[in-house]
Formats: sequence, structure tokens, C-alpha cells
Amino acid sequence: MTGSKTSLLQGTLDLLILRALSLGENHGLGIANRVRQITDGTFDVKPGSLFPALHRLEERGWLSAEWGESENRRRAKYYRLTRAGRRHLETETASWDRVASAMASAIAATS
Amino acid sequence: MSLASRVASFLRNLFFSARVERELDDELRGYVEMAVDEKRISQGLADDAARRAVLLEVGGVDQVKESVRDVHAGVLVDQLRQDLSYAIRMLRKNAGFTAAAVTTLALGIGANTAIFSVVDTVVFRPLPYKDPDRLVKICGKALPRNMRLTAVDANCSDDVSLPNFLDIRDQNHVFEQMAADDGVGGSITYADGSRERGINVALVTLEWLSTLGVQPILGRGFLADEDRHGHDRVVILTHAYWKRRFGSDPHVVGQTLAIDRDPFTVVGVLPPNVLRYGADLIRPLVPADYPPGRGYRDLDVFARLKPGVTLAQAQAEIDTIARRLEEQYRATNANSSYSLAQLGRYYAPIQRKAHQGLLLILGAVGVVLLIACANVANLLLARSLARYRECVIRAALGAGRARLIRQMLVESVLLFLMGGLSGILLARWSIDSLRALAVAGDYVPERIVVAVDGRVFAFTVIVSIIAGVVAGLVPALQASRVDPNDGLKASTQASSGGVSRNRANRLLIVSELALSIVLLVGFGLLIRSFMRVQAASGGFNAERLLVTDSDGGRSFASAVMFWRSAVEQARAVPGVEFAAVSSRPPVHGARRQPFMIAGHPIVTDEDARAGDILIGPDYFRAMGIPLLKGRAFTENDDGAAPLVVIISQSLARRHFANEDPIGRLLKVKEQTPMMCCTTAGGPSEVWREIVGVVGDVRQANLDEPPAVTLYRPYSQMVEHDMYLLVRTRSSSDATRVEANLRSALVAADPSREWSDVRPMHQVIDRSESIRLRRFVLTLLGSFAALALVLAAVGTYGVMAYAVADRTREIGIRVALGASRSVILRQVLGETTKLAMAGLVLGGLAAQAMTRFISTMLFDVSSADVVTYAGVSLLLASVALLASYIPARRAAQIDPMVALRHE
Repeated sequence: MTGSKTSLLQGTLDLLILRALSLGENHGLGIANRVRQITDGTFDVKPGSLFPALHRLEERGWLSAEWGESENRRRAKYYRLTRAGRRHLETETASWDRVASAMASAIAATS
Repeated sequence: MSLASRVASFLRNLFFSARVERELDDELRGYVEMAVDEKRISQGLADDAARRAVLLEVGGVDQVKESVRDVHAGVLVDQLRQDLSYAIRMLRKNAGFTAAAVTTLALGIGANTAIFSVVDTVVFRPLPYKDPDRLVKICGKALPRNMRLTAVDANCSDDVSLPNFLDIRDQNHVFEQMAADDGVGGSITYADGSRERGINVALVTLEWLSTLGVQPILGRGFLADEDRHGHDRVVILTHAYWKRRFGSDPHVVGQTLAIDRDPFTVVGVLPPNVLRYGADLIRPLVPADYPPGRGYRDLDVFARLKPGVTLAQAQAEIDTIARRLEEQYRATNANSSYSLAQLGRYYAPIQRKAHQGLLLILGAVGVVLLIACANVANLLLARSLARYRECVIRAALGAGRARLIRQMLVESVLLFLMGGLSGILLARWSIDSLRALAVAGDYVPERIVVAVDGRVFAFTVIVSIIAGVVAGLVPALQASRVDPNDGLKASTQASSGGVSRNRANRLLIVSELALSIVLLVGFGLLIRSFMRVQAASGGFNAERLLVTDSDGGRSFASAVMFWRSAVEQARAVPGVEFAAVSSRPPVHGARRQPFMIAGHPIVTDEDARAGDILIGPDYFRAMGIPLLKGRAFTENDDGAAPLVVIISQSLARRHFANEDPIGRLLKVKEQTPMMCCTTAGGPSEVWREIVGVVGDVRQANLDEPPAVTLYRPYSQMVEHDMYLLVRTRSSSDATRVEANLRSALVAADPSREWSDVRPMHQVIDRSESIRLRRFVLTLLGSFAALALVLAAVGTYGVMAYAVADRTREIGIRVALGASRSVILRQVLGETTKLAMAGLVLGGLAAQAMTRFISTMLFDVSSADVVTYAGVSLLLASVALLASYIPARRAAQIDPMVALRHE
């Protein structure tokens, strides 16, 4: 379910998607590309994990979706953060920061 | 917010699944197209090379779709829907299997539904009244404490006079409301001019409906002035009567009918099973038109307690009022007291025995359902072989074990629901005849409405689902225990798992046989008891004995004269040997009265009560009851002669162990000058001299011990309703006299009515114990027969299957020289083993179960050897017979064919 380079922690994919969408609405392929960009190519999200995640987030009410047209005139489903999604992103980011710094100091302490 | 969006998605996924699916498709297609565009542009690939690369990356559009679907809300419901449509396809494909299973289940569940609707109406269902716990019956006499009246009790009916009712009603502070009723017969003339006699009409006070807390389902209740003379020409129909006579006509309100030629308007219809005994219709009781005497005790009274008032408090209050009335009206109210009891089902005598019998039958029909379930489980098991490869393939494609089990359970529950619905149809179709049977057996009051309604429907659906899960679980577990490798390799001979499946099969058959044994033993014991009861000596001779009855009128002198001349008329009919009167011939029971013996200490327990029967001369000779000591009554024992009494042997034995009872004095409560109830003065006690001792008689039922009885001459004490008994000289005389007696009696006094003359055998045949038993036997017999058929079919199925499964093995053995008789014996031997196991288990279970019928056994031990031997023999032969066909097929297997067959 992950890119070839690094395996994703549970919940990481959700956070990445929300983060990618915080920059503006986008369709599935666009989201995958944006995730690759913002992680400097570390995560390459395949459709097999991307779409289930998108649908799950949409059903939770964190994303909303509507049909639109892509740059090269393809019909595409555009996802956008809802207000609840934005709030969720904030709390998740905060807790991620805590975990990340804790992990960093733990690893620094043992090495 | 989140919840709302989830619910919305759930509903969308469920009800707009086609759209959801289409959008998912569009989304993924868009993704692929865009990715192809991207690859073409960024990497300069040709269109189809780019597409190939993208599709490789995606790794299967359908798998992606599936994993998206799995996160959708409502995925479980969706899968269930898939399972269901798959199950329907499977059941349709295997029409033969489905038909066999549904038929079996329809019989099993239908029988349960029908029986349940009867038992529910009579036993379980709450009374159709508001807060029935606060309803109490007010009896005009002292009753044992805490007695719950379940019915119209002989001890407690027709026993309060109107003025006493009104006084209690107006003076008490414990009842919210109080009501009274009185039953009268009537003949009805309908609008179309047709007449119907023998209709039961109840006169009820205006508060009757509101005390019960009942609203008419059509029309209205009685109005405030409808108990005034001239305004009272209105009736409300009971539900059963409305259904029977008016075909449940919704426009019946407003129609007129005539009761004894007076026109009445129908103003309402009662809900089902709100009954006053056996009333067909109710009309207002007009106090001004009702006999005003305080001694005329003919009302039935009941009341609703005020909230929070206990039975004991109410009793105390009523005691006070009764004492006050007693002082005020010495002449009529001396020694009169009232007792309160919970108002049970206020319709007809449904005895405890009947309740027991009904529950027994419910249990028996439950056993039939178990057997049917076992049969269907067997079918499912056999089919799980055919399904094995299907399961293997589905497992290989990623279906989890739980998903496989669920699929199988959905199928079996669906099968059971189909069986259940067919069963409901069967029950609806048979319920009227079942009700008629139950009414004839005294298990259900005549005017009770029994219907397969919503409550029963719910019961059946629940039972079907539970049974479906239980019966489907074993085959489902069996089928889901698959090893994809093993299953796919073994291409044709997929009998792996066969050993445990076979074991399950056999276990089911053994339990079926065992359950059948339980039913058969129960039936066997009861039918033997029945035959013993029928053959039992009641202490009298029923041969050539005829009975009829009449009303001798309400004055002592004329009643005695009427009966004396009736006996003379009867004696004059050719062929008559003896004729005599009695207030209570055998199997009619007898009122039990307290008595005292001069010189003996006063005893107050049951021992000091005796059945109390009034008889004429020749009674003992007519009945064939032996006179053991002293003399019988003669015409000279009349009102002017000394008062005398004759006692039964058991009374003599108990109270005069070492003494001669003849000449001793005995005292019974009696009302002078005569007669029961109405014209009687206050009760007084008189001493009577014992002049004879006679043999014991089973007075009420042939399966009850003889009753302690005392006999008094009717010429010293008479009741208005009495019986005339006639013994003829020969059985051909009996037929002749049966035809002539009534006309001879009517010719002598045309003003009197006589009931039909009936042979004593017929009276016994219709007596309570025989009727109760016959009903249980009819049903238990049918169920035992059904169980036997199901067990036979099951045995046949399992053995046929076992033989088919081993065709190859048997073929090899025949080829190696096994003779056909050896093969035949082996298959039959296997059945014998199963049957033996079933017999042993069933025998033990039956032993444990017989305690439920111990009260119904008569003169037969619960370990009756004849019954057990007979049943075992029957079941073993049926099982062997059922397996004989497969056994013969096995014996005729052609080794060449069998070996090629694989």
C-alpha cells in the first residue's frame, strides 16, 4: 500500500492527503502528485491506497467532492477540505509534531 | 457533523448504489486517462505504451474498486444483500432440494404455529382488559384464601342478589367501579326472519364495559339511561358471535334483531375474547325489571380495585359491609359473607389439566420441529458436499471463513423463513379445525376466537430464524472448513471432510430417532392409559343405561310429584327394568358439602366434606351400585318420615372404622324446605339417620379415585334440575327405549321439556377426562406419526447417501468376491447400529420426560414394558424399512459399472 521507498505509518496517509488538499482542491492524480512533491518524492501513493483513503475521508465528512474538468479537459472528481477536515488537520498536525519530536529525541538519546 | 455525514453516506451507498458505482467507475477512468496523458507528455511515450505502464502501476482497476467499496459505510448490509440474492439463486437452482426442505419445514413450523396460536390465546396472552390485576371477583360465599378464580367456578357464580350488589356498590370505598351480570337464554329472530334458539344473552349493568376497561371495536358502549325501562332495547355483540352469525359485517351496527320477539338494535361489537362465560351478546340489565328479592342470588359480580388498594384491604371493607347488611336484613343475609378473588379469565372453565395438556402438546410439537430441523440440517450437510468445490474456489479468491459461514447461514435462514411462511399458510388453513378439536376436548372455551394474528406471526418468524441459524450452523462450519489446495487438487472425489460430515449425519439421525422415541413413548403410555380409563369400572354398570334430564319446577311439593310421576311413566315403557332419579349421576361430579357425625369431634378439613347427591328409590339398582349394608330408600322416605341418609363405603371406612354406621346420626347443611339457590330460606342444619352403606362410585371422572359420598332421598330434599336414569332389560330394548322414552314422558306432561335421551356410554364418552384425553391423544398421535415419517425419510436419505458415497468401495468388494447378501446385511447392520443408539438415547430421554405426563397416566406405569417394547420394535422396523431400498441398491451394484463410474 505504500511507495517503494518508505512504509507509511497508520494514519500518515490521511494526514498527507489532508495536507496536500490544504493547498487547494484537487483530483486523485493531482493529490498523488502533490504528495510526491511535498514529501520530496519519498511517498509515491498508488491508487489502491489513495482512493479507499479519499472515500473514507469523504464519508467522515473531512473532505467534500464535486465533479469538474481537468486542465486537459478530462472529467474529474475534485476533493476539497471541509471545515471539519481543516480542524482535523490542525489537531493531527499538532499530535504528529509531538510524536515526531519525541521519536527524534528518543533516537538521539540512544545513539 | 461527522455522524450526519456518515449516515448520509450510508443511505447513499445503500439506496443509490448504482450511482455510487458509476461515479467510482468515472473517477478511476478519469485517473487512468489523466495518468496516461501525463506519461505521454512527460516521458514522450506512445498512447498504448503509456496506457500499459499506467495500468501496470494501478495494479488492477477492479481490485482498487473492491478496496474502495470495502471502506464504504454500509458495506455489511451490501454484502448481506449480495448473500441474499446469491442464496435465492442457489435455492432456485436446486429446486428439488428446496422443495423437500421447505415442505418438511412447512409441516414442522406450521404445526408449531397452529398449536402456538391456540396455547397463546388460552394460556399466555394477557387478558384483553385494562390492568387485569386490579380486577376482582366478588363471591357470595367464603372461599379459601388467595384463591385465584381462573374461570366460572362452580363455587362462585350466580351468587349475589341485586339489592346486595347495589348496597355494596354504594357503600364501599375500595373499588373504582363495580359491575354485575346475569346470563339468560334466548331465541333470536334475525332481520331476514330466520330464528336461532339457545343463544346466550347476558344482562349487564352499565358499568360492565368500563369496569373491564374495554371499548367496543365497532359502535359504542351502553349509554347512561339505557338501564331504564323502555330505553334498554340495545345489544352489543361478542366478537365470536359477530363473526359466526354476521360474517364480521362491518355495517352490523344499527341492524335490528329480536330477542324472544322483542326488537333490539345492535349498537356495538366487543373486541375478541371479552366474554361473559359463553355469552353471545350482552344487553343492559334494567334494575327495575330485575327480581328485587335479597334472597334471589343470581348475579355475578366483579369490580376494579382503586389504585393502591390491596385485595386484603378490599376484603376487610367488604366484610364490614356484609356484617352491616347481615344485621339489617337478618332474614335473607344471615350467615352470608363475601370473598374476593382475583378475576382470572372470566369466560369458561379451563381446568388446570387443560393448561397442562396444552403445554404438553406445545412441547410435543416443538419436538416435531426439532426433528424437522435435523432432517433439513441433514439435507444441508449432504449438499455441502456439492458445495465443497464452490467454497474452495471462493476461499481461493479471498473470501474469508466468516464470509463463507455467513453465506451458508443466510441460505439456511432463507430456507427456514420460506418454510415458516408456508407453515403460517398451513396454520391459517387448519386453525379452525384445530380450534374445533380443542373446543370439543374442553381445552378452549367455545366462544374464544383463535386467530393466526400478528403475535403468532412474530412468533413463527422468530422461531424460523433461530431454527435456521441452529440447523445451518453445523453444515456451514463443515463447508467453510476448506483447504484451497486440497480441494482444488481432489478434482472429483471431493469427499475429504467426509468422515466428520458422516459423523454429523449419523449424529443427526440418531437424535431424530431418539426424539421420535420420546414422542412415541408418550403417545403409547397415554393411549394405554386411555384404554384403561375407558375400561375402568366406575363402581356402577353403564350397560343398557339411559339418561335424560329436566326441570321439575321451583316448588318442593310439585317438584317431588313431577319426578315421582316421571319415574312411573318411564317404568311403564316396555323394556324398562328400573327407573330412578338423581341430582347427579356419575361423571357429572357432585357438589361437596361439609358434614358432621354425632358423637365425633368436629373436623374442618377436606375429610369432612362429601359429595352430596339426591336420589330416588331404585337408584342403586338402576345404576348397578351394590348395597353393602342396611337398606335403600323407598317411596316412604318422604317429607313426613324421619330424615335419612345413605353413605358410601369410603365414608364408612374413614369415619366408622370399627363401628357400625347404621343407625348413627349425620348432619349436613341444608336449606329448608328444599332446593337450591333461589327460593331457599336460610341454611339450617338437621340430623339424619344413616340407613345404608353402598359401594364407591367414581362420581366425577373415571380416572379419579372414588369420591366420599352421601345420598339423601329426593323426597326429603329436591333440586329443580334432576336426571332420570333408566336401565333396560336388554341391549335391543335400550335402542328401542332410547327412541321412545322422551315422547312417552312428554305425552304424560306436555308442559315439561326433556333433554335428549342418551346412553350412559355416550355420557361417559363426553365426560371431561375422556374428552381431555382424546384431544391430547389425537394431537400427540398425529405428531408422533409425523415424527416417524420424518425420521424414516431422514434415515432413508442418510443411508442412500452413504451407499452412493461408497459405490466404488462396494464395487471393489463385490469384485473381490463379497456376496450380495453380505453387502445387504452390512448396510442394514449399520442402520441397526444407528437405530439401537437412537433407541437407547430415546428411551433414556423418554424416561426423563414421562414426569410431564405422569398426572395423565392411569393404571399404567411410566416404565411400561409393553409400550417401550412396542415403540422400539416399531421404530426399528421403520428405520430398517427405510434403509432397505438403499441397501438393496448397494447389493445390486455392478462392480464394473462402479469402478468405471469414477
